[in-house]
Amino acid sequence: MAVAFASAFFLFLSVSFFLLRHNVRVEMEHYAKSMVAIYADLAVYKANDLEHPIDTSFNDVLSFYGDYMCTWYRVDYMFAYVPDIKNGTITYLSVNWKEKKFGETDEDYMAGDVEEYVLTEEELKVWRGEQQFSVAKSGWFESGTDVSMAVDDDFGNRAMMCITVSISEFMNEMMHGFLIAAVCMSAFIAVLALFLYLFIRRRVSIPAGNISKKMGDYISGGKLSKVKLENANDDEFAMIAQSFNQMTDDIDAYINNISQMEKERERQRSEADIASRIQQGLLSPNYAYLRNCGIKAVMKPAKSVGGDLYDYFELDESRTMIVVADVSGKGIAAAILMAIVLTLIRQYAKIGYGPSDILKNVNLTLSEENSNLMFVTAFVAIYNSATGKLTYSNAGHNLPYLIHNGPVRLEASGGTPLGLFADEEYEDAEVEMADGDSVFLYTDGVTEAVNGNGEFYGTDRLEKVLKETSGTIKKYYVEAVEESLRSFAGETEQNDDITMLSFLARRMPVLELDYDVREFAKIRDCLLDSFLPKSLIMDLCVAAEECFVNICSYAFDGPAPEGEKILFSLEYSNKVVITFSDGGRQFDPRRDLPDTREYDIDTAVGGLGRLIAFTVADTVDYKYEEGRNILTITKLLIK
Amino acid sequence: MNISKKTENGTVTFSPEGWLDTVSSPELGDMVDAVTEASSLVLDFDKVEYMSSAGLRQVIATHKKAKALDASFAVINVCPTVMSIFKMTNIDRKLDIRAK
Repeated sequence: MAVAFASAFFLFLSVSFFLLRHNVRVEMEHYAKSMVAIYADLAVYKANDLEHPIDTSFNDVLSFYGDYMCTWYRVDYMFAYVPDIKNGTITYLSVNWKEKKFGETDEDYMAGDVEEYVLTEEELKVWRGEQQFSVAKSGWFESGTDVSMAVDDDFGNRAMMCITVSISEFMNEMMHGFLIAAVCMSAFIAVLALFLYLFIRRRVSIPAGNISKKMGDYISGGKLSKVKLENANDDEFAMIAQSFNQMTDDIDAYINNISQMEKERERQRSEADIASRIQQGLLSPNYAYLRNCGIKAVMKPAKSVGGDLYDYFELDESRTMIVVADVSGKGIAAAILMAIVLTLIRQYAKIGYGPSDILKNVNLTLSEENSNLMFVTAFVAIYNSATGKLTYSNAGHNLPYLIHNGPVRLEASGGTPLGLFADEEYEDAEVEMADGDSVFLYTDGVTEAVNGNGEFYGTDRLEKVLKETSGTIKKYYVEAVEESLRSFAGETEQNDDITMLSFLARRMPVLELDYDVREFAKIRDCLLDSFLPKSLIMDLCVAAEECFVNICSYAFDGPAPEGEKILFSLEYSNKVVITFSDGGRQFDPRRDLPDTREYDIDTAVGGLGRLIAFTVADTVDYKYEEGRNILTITKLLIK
Repeated sequence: MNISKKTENGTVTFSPEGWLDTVSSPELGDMVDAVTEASSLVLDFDKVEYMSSAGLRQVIATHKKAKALDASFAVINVCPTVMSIFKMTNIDRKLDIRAK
């Protein structure tokens, strides 16, 4: 900035100087002309007053006034001469110069001296009277000006008057003023510059530095700190500070907002998690081996909670109800309605209604207050193991498959989805089921599952999987379709709730076993054939084996009587119940269990098996009834 | 039940496969009984997926046999299901039972 100021100042000085110099020269010429004219007038006027001849008195007059002019006016030289044009010479009449004292003479130029000099064109014109002045400029940058004019006195004498004015005379004077002005100007500019500097420093540099530092502080260390800019002035920096403060306030608010939202989301997530667990808790366990059937089911919501449901329960010794339903929509709203529908169906089923009556009454209840026009598709069936008949009714739901050798769709019956038309009638239909037949119920989330290419899973793929699985021993339809869906969808997000329920009509056989430990293989196969998880089967096998071997070994002293059998049965829904019944001697296996802490493996025998059985099981109950030992081993599935 | 036997530098290793239950366990007992000389007896349970007290009794019997032969004894490669049986009877504290 200082350099810029210096340059500007220098430029200003230079321009001023040259402008001044030009003006001085013009002034000088005027001045010289005036001076020579005055000189001439004075000389001629005085000369004309004299009574003497020109050759002496005119020279004196010229010399006198020349001195006068040189002394009192800014004139360097003042001289008069008479030219001899023919010979190219001049004869000086008078020579005066500035420093000359009165009466002093210059040895080089004296009045009366003759010098060779050829008049210039201009001077010739003046001499001839063709023009008033001749002007010649001389010296360094025309530092001097010579002006000549011709004068005549009354006596007929003619002389050239010549004046030399040097620029220095003028310049000195004018420069003096100029320099004072320049110094004043410089001082003024310097003060102005200093003032400007201080002003800019105070109002620009310092605030800018502060802002920069504070802005740096604001995001230092990767976290935002409480930074506020202070600026009392009313300028652009105050505006910047204000904007910055506004910005930090906004950012703080946003961040606060974001963390609030994050907390809110976290809360919603955990609520959704709880809701999901509550919803899954509403559903019956996803597998069960009941007295007349085996059930395997799954409900996978697209969101944390869904609008699908499945349900099953034993109405009495021979009848079991199964349900699959799909509430329109997804998420919380659907989940609430799902819970209502689940409860209604259970209640109507428990008071003894058949499938169509259940649907009719649920429909009526839902239709009464259904301002949101949500609806539910549902399929309800009741299997009676005594007659082998499946009675069912449908409310706009996907018709399930009956699987004997391969999947066959059940015949349509029933009516529209629940909740739409209060006066809708639903009908029952019936189908025969052989022992080992399955019914596969599902919601449209299965067939409308989408893969990466936008294709639907569809009924063809479903039927193919069901057909393939019907050929296997275990008939794990739900697992097979789940696996097929998984490989079909790949990474594609599930967009609808998926629910399936496979119902296997099979009376759980009560095994009639001989008092022979080799018969354990039948128990083992029965357990392996259940829907239970592998590790649980292992535990149950150990418990069952220990109890069974114990009975075989101690029931009778000799061989068992003819026809006497050990009865084994297995049932489970939310707990597994294994029951042994034997006609041997009364023996409570809970008595005299060994203590493992004092158990010496080198000496002790027996009791270990019972110990293992009791450890594996959750409860072991024993009773002696009608001459038979009844041993019940229970293991809870849900802990 | 399939039980393989391997003798190497005085170490006799039995590797039963499958279920060590009431029916199958005596087979292992017979094979162990037949051993007359060993510096070490090892039961490799790598392929045993189930064991009841009958199997446990054979493990104890093998331990006694090793004691009689003045040989060392260990059960190796025990899977979690079988290990739980050793644990609930505290046998794992008294014998050298190594998990898989």
